[in-house]
Amino acid sequence: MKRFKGLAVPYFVWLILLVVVPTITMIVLTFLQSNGTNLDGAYWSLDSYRRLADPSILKALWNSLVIAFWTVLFCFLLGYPVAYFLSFSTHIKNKQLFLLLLILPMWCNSMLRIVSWLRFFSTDWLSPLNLVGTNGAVIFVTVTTYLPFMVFPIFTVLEKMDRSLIEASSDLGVPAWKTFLKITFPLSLEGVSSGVIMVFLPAATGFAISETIGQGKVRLMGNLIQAVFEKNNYNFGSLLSLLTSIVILLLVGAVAGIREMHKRRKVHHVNA
Amino acid sequence: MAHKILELRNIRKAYGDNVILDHFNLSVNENEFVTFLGPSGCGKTTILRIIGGFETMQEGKLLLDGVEMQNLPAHKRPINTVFQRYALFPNMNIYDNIAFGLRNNIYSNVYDIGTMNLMAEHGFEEEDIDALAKILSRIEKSKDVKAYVLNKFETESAYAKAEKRLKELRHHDGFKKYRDFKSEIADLFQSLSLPLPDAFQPDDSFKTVEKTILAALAQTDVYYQMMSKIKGRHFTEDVIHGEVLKALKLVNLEGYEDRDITSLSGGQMQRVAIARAIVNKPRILLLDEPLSALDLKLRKSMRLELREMQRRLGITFIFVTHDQEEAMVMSDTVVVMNGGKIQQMGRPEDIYNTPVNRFVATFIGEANLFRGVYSAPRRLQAMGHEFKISATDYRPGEEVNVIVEKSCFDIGLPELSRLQGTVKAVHFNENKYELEVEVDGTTIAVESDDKYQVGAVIGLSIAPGNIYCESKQEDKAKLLANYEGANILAGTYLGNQKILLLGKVFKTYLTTFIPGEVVDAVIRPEDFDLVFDEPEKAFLHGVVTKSVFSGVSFHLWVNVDGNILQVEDYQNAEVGQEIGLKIDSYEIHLMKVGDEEQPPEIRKVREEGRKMEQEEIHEAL
Repeated sequence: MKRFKGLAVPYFVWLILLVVVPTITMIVLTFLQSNGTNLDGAYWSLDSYRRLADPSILKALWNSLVIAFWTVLFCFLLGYPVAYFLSFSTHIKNKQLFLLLLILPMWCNSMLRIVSWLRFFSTDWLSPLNLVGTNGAVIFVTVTTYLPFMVFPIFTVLEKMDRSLIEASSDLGVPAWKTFLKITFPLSLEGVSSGVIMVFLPAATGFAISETIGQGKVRLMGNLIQAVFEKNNYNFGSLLSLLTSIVILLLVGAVAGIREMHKRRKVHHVNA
Repeated sequence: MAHKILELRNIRKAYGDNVILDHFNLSVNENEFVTFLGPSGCGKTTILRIIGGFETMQEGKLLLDGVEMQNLPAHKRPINTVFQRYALFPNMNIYDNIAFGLRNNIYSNVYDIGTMNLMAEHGFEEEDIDALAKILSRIEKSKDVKAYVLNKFETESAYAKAEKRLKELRHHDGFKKYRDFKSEIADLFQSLSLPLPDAFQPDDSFKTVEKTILAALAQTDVYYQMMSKIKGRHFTEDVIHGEVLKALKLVNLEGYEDRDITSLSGGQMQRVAIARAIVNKPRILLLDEPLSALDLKLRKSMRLELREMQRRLGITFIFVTHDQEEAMVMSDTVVVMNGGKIQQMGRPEDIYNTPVNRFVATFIGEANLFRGVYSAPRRLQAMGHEFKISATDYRPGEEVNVIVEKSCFDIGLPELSRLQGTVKAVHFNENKYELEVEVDGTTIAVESDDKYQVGAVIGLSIAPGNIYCESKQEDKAKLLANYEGANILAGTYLGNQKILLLGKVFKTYLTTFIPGEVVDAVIRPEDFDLVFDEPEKAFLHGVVTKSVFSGVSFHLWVNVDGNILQVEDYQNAEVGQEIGLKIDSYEIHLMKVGDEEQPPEIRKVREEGRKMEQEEIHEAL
């Protein structure tokens, strides 16, 4: 393995230049008051931290998490059955084709798709429903955008699953629905948690959908950060970005932690 | 006559035009160890999966104890399977794996077992327990068993009767004090044929009397005690706990309950898979090549263990393998299969000694052997022609040994057949003619009903299912990996299933060598049997030069005519002692040896073979 160590160098350079340095820059910026990234006349200040007390920030953070939560939930409810039937169907000969159909919309620019939805919601039939600017519409469009991110990891895990386990369960006299609950589903949780993370991250941090579909009425963390940066306030913008990252890291860490715990769990109902 | 537990009648299974099983008939006796033996693609696993309920069939019947069961789904059959790769549930530990069937099967016999245990604990006669067990075994669902048992116990229970009567009395207006309903209580106890308690005061309230009577009955009424246990929350888990521990003990894995599946070795996983199956007390246990994933040493000890387990459990075992040694060692009955048909069925020794047809002889013996290349899926390139075959488990381009039994050739007009050849010799043998046919320079042995003249040109074709392929790649490295620490002895293949080894002639089951070819014979130390009485009369004898105790067995170095053999046994022999050695012919494994050690004529034959092969490959491409 040692011989190939050199091959990792480009990535580490990349990592340092584009992740580590910017992160440190951002941390430094939060303690400054400056004119954008121009450090002339910049001075140390905790102003940015004081501004965190603004209730609108907490509300935007909460909004982001709520929207992401519902998106994840709907993606799971819609995506799991798709992945399941695609993987277990004996009739579908060409699974790859179906997977292709699933990601086909992604070949089209996402902004274009979002704007299309906006136009669609504003048509004569749908405009009386006043969908534009509601949380529901934002969640709907987010779900359509990120659904493949839920389907794929679940599908992959289900495909890898040893089918003889299901036969074994059936052999032991367990009906199909119970087999699903006790064997198939628990074994697919790894894919589910990957899917959850992969959908949650962009759903919680994105701003394009809420900006376009929300029409300024749905304010998420992403929108807030964008607005602050547009005003050339890099100090407060950096702080909000870091804050969002930390909250999401904690949540993702929690999901990963649950997954890990689930792996190590020793079920014991024995009362010896 | 033994009881027929399973009957397969006229089973037919085909995928499109590809017939896997045709007119398959078989009956299996209770407590029998039956082995299906045959090459891959012979239909042995399919028949096992049909019995298990994982495959459907186009025609035929499956009878269990004379009752048709082909329409029952897998989960309703009293049959369990040990899967080839064990199929243990990775999300559970060993305990939960084994308990899985008992916990989740709606037909599980947890309540049957629990009731029997309870009755035994409470001192019931064995006859009564058996009588109830018989009735319960006819009830399908376990919740119905529970309901039946509770109902049955309730009709017997003095407590339940008293409770019911007291309830009736409570609603009677006049009965406030004991003196008001004294005679009713007396009647109740008479009907229960229990002595009347006279500890009550005339002024005792109804509630006091009721409470005292019920408390006293709860103490003495076994039916009440059993009922409350069966109704208890932990009843099924307690029963399951007992059963799981018993199963673990049976497979020698006591104390492993909490282990993760991933922490187990192959042999241990195997045992867990067996425990998981037998804990459900199946009538029949199906084993789908369960030993093939183990290394040879473990495989060998598991054979004996499985055999012994089958005897102890008294369950019918149906075992599938392609390893004839395995079949020979373990089974009561061996069913040799090929092309979806039973070739021969009988006791192992009968099959070994008197194979009824050429396939059986090949599979244990002798037939035509060619070299070939698996050129594309279901296509075989051999003898300069392309053949359709049924085997699918090779990579395109993989070199294979091709075996075709003599009787599998269809003789026809040369222009309509794949192969054309000239008859070189004709022998009459057991109502059949054996022809030697020369096809493109290769001589093929063909069996025929009709006589042909020497020099006649005939056409030969072979049905896809009659071509048996064997990968060549697995030869040496695989064999040696399994035979760590084995004796490797130089020998010469004499032809006619005989080899010259250590100056003696041994029988062998292998035929894929050229007479005169130098081979390496591989014999594992534990395969030798020691002969202490009159060692000089044993087939091999020698002097022990060294003896080491490994903690389990003795490792001996035996000098046989100047060759040092490694021998392992549970008995010790002193250094300097003369001992005899025996070895079964099927335990001598032969390996190909490189050209440089071969005599010149063998080298020549081999070179020609290779050249032809190259040309064939060239043509195939």
